[in-house]
Amino acid sequence: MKEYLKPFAIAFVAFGLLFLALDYAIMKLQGLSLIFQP
Amino acid sequence: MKIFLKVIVFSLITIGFFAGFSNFGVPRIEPAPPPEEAELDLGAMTMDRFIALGGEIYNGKGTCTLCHNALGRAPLLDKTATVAAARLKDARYKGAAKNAEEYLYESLVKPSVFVTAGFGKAGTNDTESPMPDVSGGAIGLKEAELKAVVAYLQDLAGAEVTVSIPTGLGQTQTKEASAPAAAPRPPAKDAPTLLAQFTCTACHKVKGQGGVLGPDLSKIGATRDKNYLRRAILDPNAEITKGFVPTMPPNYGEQMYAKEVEMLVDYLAGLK
Amino acid sequence: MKKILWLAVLAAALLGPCLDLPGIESPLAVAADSSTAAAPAHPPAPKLTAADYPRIAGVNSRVFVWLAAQLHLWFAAFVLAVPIFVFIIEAIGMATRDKRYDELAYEFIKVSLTAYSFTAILGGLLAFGLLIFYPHLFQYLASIFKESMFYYALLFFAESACLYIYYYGWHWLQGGFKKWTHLTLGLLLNAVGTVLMFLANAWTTFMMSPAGVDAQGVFSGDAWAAIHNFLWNPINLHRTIANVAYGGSVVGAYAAFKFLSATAKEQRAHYDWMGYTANFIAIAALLPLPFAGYYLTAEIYAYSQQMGITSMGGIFAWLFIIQAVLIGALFLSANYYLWCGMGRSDGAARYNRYIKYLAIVIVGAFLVWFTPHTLILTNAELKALGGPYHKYLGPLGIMPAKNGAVNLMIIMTTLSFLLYRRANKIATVAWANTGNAIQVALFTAGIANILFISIYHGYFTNTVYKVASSIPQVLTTLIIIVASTVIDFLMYRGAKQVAPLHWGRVPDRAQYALFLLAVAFTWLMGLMGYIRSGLRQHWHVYGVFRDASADAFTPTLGYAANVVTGATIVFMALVIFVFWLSQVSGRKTPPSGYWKEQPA
Repeated sequence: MKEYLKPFAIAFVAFGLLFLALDYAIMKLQGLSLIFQP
Repeated sequence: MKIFLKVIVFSLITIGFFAGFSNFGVPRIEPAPPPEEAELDLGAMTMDRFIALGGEIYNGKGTCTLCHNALGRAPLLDKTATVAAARLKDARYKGAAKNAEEYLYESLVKPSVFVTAGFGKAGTNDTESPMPDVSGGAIGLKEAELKAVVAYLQDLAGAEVTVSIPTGLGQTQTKEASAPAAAPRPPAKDAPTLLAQFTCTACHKVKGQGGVLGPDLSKIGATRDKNYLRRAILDPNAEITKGFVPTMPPNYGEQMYAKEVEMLVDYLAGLK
Repeated sequence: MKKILWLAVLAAALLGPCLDLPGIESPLAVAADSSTAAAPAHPPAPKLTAADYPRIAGVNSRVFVWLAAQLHLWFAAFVLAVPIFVFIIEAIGMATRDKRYDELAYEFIKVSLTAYSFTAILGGLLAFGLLIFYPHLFQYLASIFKESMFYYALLFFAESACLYIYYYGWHWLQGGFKKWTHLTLGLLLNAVGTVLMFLANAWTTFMMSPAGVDAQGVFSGDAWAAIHNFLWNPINLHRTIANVAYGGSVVGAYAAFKFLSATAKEQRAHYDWMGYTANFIAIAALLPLPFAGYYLTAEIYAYSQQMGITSMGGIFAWLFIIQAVLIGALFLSANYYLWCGMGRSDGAARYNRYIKYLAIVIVGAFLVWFTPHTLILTNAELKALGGPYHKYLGPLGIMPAKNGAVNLMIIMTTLSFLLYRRANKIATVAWANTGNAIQVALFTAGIANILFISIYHGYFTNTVYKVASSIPQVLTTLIIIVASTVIDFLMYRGAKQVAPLHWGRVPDRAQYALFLLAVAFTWLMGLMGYIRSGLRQHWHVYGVFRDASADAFTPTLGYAANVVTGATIVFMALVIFVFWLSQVSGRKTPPSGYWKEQPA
């Protein structure tokens, strides 16, 4: 189990950041921000 | 052959399930029939009736409530007539209206002139409205109908109704709005005509069609007697049906002829 | 390389003239051609009355045209799809030099041959129906689309030529250069079919989102503007992808039936493989389909907010709940088939314990997906509930929850596929454990992102944000699909097979999943056909040419469901006939004593 944990954690953080960056970029392209600003 | 039959039966059961669900698993809704060209007797119309007509268009042919409702797609319009004055002074306003009535009219035919903050098309920074010009295309309101909607909106917000009732469907002529017509109005020849003149179906359903602000009258004759019906028309606040609020105009007794009231009572009593 | 170049040049040379149709796009040609100083102005759209619609006693005009159009569409979808995967399978056969693929491709086209005739027959029926019952509408459309209709008719020569040489010449055009010629013919068949569909799509989308005409319906003369109206490309995309999914499901049903009827073990193995391949194609095309549908709906909203809201928030809202039920059935059925199929592999047992979690998520997502938002209630019920929405389930009815649900269903289906493909392999790369960890991380991070968008943007922002956030949500799903496929591909390079796949070792009930897929797909297409036409409500051409016939009213959902059901049954009967016909030519009856004795 232990040998899975390190690569999983690194990959999870990496993918997480990638997806958040994607969210931010696409929202920005539509003239909006990631977090709601009324 | 046996396999073939098994497959056919399986397929028919599957299809039957889909058909059954569509017929019985979802509410049966009758889509509204295609809009008819309304016959508007503008010459004999009072302001109250003109406002009610505006309400009928707002809830019906104009399809306004499709977007202007509590679900947040378009601004709520209950206060818009009073907000209009402030709008004209807004820095973003670039239109040609000089007063609230003109602003409301402009919003109907040129909605992108001013877009309420947050309701513009995505990515246009509130410069383009998703609302169409309601005088054209699929809605196609005529001049008189547009004015009726403006009158309705002014009345809705409790503001003074400044619209003049046009004489023809497509024209406008200044006329004393609140003075009654010079010649006495000829009495309605039958109950359906009376219902149309007084736009009862703006709030009540009759024969399955109409509004929901008042009780459904489609089968009212089965549950109410003539005395009740007469009192409901002449003095609606005497008894409000459970689940509804007092909104029915209390002055039909002054507006309708006695013969018309009796004709209406007889008609409603016959709706079983 | 040389062969590929030759292929491309030939395709371009033959396709080029098809696309550069004179009269549609070259003002120069028109200017040089015109002999009159000014062309007569086009008339506005006619204002009709009920008397302008011819009737035949005992025939409901609208139902006739509806049935003809829907049946035509089903067959057209089928005959456009089959050449796509026949082309792909033939190409795979050529690349791997595995004859089984070539034979499979041939079998697909053989099975579907009669369907082309039916497509044409039903198209003719539709055209006649429009001419007889809606002559003014047809005249109006023909006056605008005369060039495209003209070339559409002529293109059928090209289509027939490609189809018949492709099919009848299959065993003649074998080996080396001839095989490349054959493949090119397959490409051309696809190209011509696609152009035919795109042209017809123009006429139908024009009726929904007219362009190139003014508010009175006066045509500006610019046929290209009328063709590439607002909804043209969204429909082109949606129909192309949907055709592939649909064609796969119909062929899968064929294979399922042959599997159940097969007696010999080799036959069962062959049809099991055929069914799996067809299902794979259907699911591969099904995965991106919700996105194409979403794009179409977004364009409908962009064209007319009113039309968009009528479709999803107005009277057609409940129809989309039924659509949700059908799509849920499709996903469940497709996944069930995959899970049943795991048994073909001796190594599948390792993954069996994960299947129930996939099932739970898919069923859960399906339930969310078909929960309605606004409930139609009586006054008493309204008071009891305190409003038109259920306190707890109501929030699950709106789009953000539904977007989240469908994205999860798609991801779980991808996962089912991955597990299926892995079942029979043992990875031999050194980094297998890390690879698995990365895959798990990809899926968890992606699902977390989708849930974040669904919940945060879905419930804590406004409409504009909600709609905009669906794009990153969709892209997340697409990234998961692509990335996981790539990682698995790399991870299983040089992998050891546990044992050869036992084609044919699959329970009979799995075949019923394939039938369900084909039937549900057909019925769903019929339902969507109703909504696409119904969105026009009382208009022939939306906002421009009013429908004044007695049937202008929008029918109820129940009525439409019944018409679609009837049409589906007719279609099933015709398809069974098509399949039966495909094996009739192989039957021989020895006629004892019928023919005269031949002299020796």
